[in-house]
Amino acid sequence: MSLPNFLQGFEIADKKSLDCYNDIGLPTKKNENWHYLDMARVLSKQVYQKQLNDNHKSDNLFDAIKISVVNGNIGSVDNLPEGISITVGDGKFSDELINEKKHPLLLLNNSVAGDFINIDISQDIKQLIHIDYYNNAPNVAFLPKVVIRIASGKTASIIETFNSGKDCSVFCNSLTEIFVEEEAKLLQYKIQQDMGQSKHIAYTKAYVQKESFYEQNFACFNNEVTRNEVEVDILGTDANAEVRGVYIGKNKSVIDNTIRINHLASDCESQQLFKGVLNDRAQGIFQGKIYVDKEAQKTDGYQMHRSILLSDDAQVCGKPELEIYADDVKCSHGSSTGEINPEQLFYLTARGINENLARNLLLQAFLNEVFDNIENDIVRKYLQKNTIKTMETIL
Amino acid sequence: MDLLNIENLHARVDNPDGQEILKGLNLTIKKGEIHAIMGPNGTGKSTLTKILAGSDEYEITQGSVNYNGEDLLEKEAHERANEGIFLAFQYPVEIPGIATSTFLRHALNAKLRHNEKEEIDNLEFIKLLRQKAKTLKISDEMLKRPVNVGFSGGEKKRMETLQMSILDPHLGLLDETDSGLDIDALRTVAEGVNYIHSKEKGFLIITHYQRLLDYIKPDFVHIMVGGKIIKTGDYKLAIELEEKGYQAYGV
Ligand SMILES: Nc1ncnc2c1ncn2[C@@H]1O[C@H](COP(=O)(O)OP(=O)(O)OP(=O)(O)O)[C@@H](O)[C@H]1O
Ligand SMILES: [Mg+2]
Repeated sequence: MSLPNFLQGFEIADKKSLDCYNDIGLPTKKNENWHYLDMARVLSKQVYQKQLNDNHKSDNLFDAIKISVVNGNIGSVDNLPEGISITVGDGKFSDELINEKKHPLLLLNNSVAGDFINIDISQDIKQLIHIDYYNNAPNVAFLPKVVIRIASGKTASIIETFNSGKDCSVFCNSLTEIFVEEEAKLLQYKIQQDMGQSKHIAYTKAYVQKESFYEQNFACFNNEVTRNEVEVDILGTDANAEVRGVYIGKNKSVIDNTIRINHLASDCESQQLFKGVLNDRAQGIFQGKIYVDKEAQKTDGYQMHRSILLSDDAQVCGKPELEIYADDVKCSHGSSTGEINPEQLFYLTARGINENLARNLLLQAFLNEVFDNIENDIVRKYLQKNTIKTMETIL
Repeated sequence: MDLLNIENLHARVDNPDGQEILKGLNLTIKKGEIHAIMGPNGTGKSTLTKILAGSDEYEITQGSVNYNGEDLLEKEAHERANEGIFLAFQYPVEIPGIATSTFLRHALNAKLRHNEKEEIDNLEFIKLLRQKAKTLKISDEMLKRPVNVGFSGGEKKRMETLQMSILDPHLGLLDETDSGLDIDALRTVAEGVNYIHSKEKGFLIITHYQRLLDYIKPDFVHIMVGGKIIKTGDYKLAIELEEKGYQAYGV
């Protein structure tokens, strides 16, 4: 048994996962969950390698508890405040996640040897926790493994940023498992801004207990291929899960958001809100599902996906899905694809604002509906600033 | 000197089966003059103002428009605005997600930049905005809202007037700015126009009612029917129309 050809230089950690992966292989369009994104094709063109660390230093943008991961190599973490433990090295995903899902990229992540980042939160943590992924080696592969636990009643926020040097081709296959205990609150932000030739595949699984709150806010600024998959199991009553995202794409970018929220207990709420702007031949994919178990009465589920296309060749596809087995629920979903409103554009230009700035302002306004939900001021402003910058490059 | 000179303007809706709307329109506005256009619904009054402001909804098939001696139709909408043309829209559009004050600051700074002047800083701008808003009885709360979102009909018209007074245009095109205004607001809007009016500036005021013209005295009143101006007179023409309607003009 060996690792697939496109991954070089890695050791095998889990033979069983690898066997299973090799049985299934990379997903193609025939796989329902990957209907719009043919991973086998995406990964057929190039070989990616395990690379060495580098002395890259970056600013602490968010004044955070910071973990640096350079070319897949995790740096040391010191000066931790009380109430949080971060260990790097051994770790384990739940059996349920690896063995039952039979998800090829989860299996691949688990097959490959690599350090875990284990984050245990036992007190309220005011500072942001920042995992800063940065790559500057050519054709780098990295397969992050992150496990986050937050204790009952505690609150914390975690941000992951993905950046790469110019012309740096990247394969990232990230796997994150999150345990949100009763009455806890975990806010998660993920910002993909490789801006270049990166294949970014991420899977997040969150288990949300009674009266707790979990949210993920994802932003993708014009990367080549991005798949952000999130599955949330709401396991206790009166809990709330929100998964939101913003994406901006140009050239031939592909951005796939695949979200599944499983309501397994009663009286819970969930929200999925995604907005995207696409130019050139970029493609947006949104597969959102709300699953409501027969036990999950009084579920309130909401799902919305809106996109603006700036070119005739850009496209969005996907499917919203509701699967409901309880009878007393409130679920809604919707989607829309449109252009910049010409009347609004004329109103702005008739006031002296040039057309490029006017478009930029209108698109920011469109995406701000998502950012307005972000509690953390520093993160929200950072995202808004990057949106303006990215928009200037795609307009 | 002519501020605006429109000659034999023909325009149609810019789509494959778009009908002709302006059918040979002539109009000259000299500096310092106030002109009013009256005319039945659907005769092309708003179309005219939108064309002057640079809308790309329409295709010009014949004729010319000169503004300050330059070919206006060559210029893009934002250039026209920055060179002093202001259209107070008949139906101001709502723009969720952009705060009124942010929008207006961008607009004012665009104009300042265009005229090679220094941009206004944020604090100074807010002061200016508050002061102008107060005279138009627009609350701070309204300024914080997104552009025109949730405004009543009359509030939208007052907001157009506020924008005009901040951008201080050379040629103001007011498309039914009086419609939907209460008596007090009508007076305030008229005061706004009279306040910025000077011998360098011109106004084109479109209205269905003589009432507004009681407050803003026009030098000329034109009747527009079927995409062109068919009669020009002075203030008395407005009074006559108010009494008799457009029947005498074959409408
Ligand atoms: N973009 C467009 N597409 C199709 N028809 C149009 C368009 N713009 C204007 N029209 C038509 O052209 C005619 C003139 O419209 P316009 O809005 O200029 O009239 P108006 O004189 O301002 O009327 P009112 O007094 O009702 O405001 C109308 O019949 C209108 O339906
Ligand atoms: Mg009109």
